[in-house]
Amino acid sequence: MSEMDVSRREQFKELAVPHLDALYRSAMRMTRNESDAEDLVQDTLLRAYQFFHQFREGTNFRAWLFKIMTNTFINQYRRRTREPETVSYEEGEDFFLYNQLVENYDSELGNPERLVLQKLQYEDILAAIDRLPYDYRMAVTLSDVEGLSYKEIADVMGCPIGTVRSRLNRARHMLQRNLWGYLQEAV
Amino acid sequence: MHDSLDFDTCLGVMQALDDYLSRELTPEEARQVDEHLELCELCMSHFQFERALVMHIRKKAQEVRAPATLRARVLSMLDQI
Repeated sequence: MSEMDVSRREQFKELAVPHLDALYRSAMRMTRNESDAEDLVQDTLLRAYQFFHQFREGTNFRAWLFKIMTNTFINQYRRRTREPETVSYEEGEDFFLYNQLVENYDSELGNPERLVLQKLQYEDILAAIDRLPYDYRMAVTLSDVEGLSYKEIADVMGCPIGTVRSRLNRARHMLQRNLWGYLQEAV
Repeated sequence: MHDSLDFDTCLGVMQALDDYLSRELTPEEARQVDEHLELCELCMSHFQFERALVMHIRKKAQEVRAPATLRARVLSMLDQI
């Protein structure tokens, strides 16, 4: 291996390894399966390394990795993963969870977020996200968990910014309905 | 960006909720929303709730970390290619 190859590999490692947790988190939401998620992250990094010469310096490396992972998932994994069966396509409404909490627990509430912060645990939140259809759970994951901008998400998911906005709106509505289910069990 | 929203009204502010939570408003739009929230207790209470919920989701979901075995696998793969 030439010195240039070694330095290129070291440069790639330096850029990619800090994103391992974020890649794994999103791979888990894509595949909803630990072993597939691990394979997907490894395949993604291998592919990213192979196409590293195409990465333009100065652009967002994390978004570039997410895009490669999304394409790898769609091409290699999506066919064999099962989508959630209990999917609610009901139209949501703004402030669904807030309204439910105020209507049902008004007397116990100092403010409605207190109950959410105390009762909604890690497992409930991940399960609630995983019950969303693929496009919606990835919109919520990339935006609300990983903090990508609309433009970055549009690029990662290969759709217009307007689609990102409407998916995210609907995803947040559906997520609040799911979370309400877990909150009722927890309170 | 919203040409059509009127941030003086509760309805206009509520319609900007998603963009506000995603930090997609222009600084000027965000300032107008904040100004409304300062004056309107009901909108403030709704927005505070939504912001707290999104932050809670982020904090909890980010507790997921790549397993040590995956980290080792990836590092060894990168050393071998």
